[in-house]
Amino acid sequence: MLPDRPLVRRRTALTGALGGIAATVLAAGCDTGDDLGENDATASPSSSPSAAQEPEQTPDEALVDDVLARLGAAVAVLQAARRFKQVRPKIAPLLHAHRSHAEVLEGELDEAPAPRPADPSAATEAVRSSETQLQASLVDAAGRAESGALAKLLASMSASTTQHLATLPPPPGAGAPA
Amino acid sequence: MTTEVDALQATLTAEHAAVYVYGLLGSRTSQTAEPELYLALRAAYEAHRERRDTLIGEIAALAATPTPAAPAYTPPAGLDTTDGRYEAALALERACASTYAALVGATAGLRRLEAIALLNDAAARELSFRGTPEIFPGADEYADR
Repeated sequence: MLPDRPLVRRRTALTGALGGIAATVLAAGCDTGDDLGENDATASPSSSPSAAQEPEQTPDEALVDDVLARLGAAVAVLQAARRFKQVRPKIAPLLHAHRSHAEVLEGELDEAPAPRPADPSAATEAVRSSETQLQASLVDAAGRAESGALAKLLASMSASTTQHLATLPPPPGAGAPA
Repeated sequence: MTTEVDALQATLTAEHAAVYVYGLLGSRTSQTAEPELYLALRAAYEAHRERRDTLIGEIAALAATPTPAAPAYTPPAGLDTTDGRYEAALALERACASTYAALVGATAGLRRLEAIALLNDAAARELSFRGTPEIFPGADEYADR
């Protein structure tokens, strides 16, 4: 089932995107916990009730974490490029798009500082390289998602990145087509 | 729940319409007076026609009967002006992007990768019809973010 409204929380979002699969996993976890509770008298002290109730990260949740890490790296490159006034107008829409992407995924972006480009041209090329890698990783993630709804969302994000990439200034030496 | 065949049939239906509308738009566009639009329309027409034919083969290979083209289609409005033709082409490609995104969600494996490629191609093609980058192409349910 596809989500028809903005996602509220990551766990909630993925539960919705998984179309009930997450609920099934949680139910299975409860059954296992009941069995262990009755029969395992030598349970480790570290098996606290709260830890036992914490559902393990699903493959799709791990996928989202990976996408968020890659988004964070791309945003860091954009932030570094923003130091050049003439580059800002071209990358502002990209920054907005990626932050919106992270918002829908209900995640925090880890924007560790990226290397400072030497000049505006280098900044633009760093953005182009970073966005090209991000676009490919989004396509890959969309292909691997277990949830169809998550796949659709990630594919849409890849398409957004494709569009933004196409509007970046052409690389040096790329003249008008003959 | 939408099955893979249902999603493929819906995509084929969209391709039939796209081939018709792009053909119509091309017939109303001057190759000499509007070369940029003409070339973009021609490229789009050829791409969608090829996809239509591929989909017909894929659906038939799944032992289903490919959905035929409709007997008639309602032409989009505004075909008498260059701006109107650009707008019609952009709206059409956006509609195709939504169809491809739905196909992504309803498929897996190689077929999903093909659908992702189609979505990316449609998103890029939108720009040739004066489209601007979107935040969630093909996924309007997130567009208000």
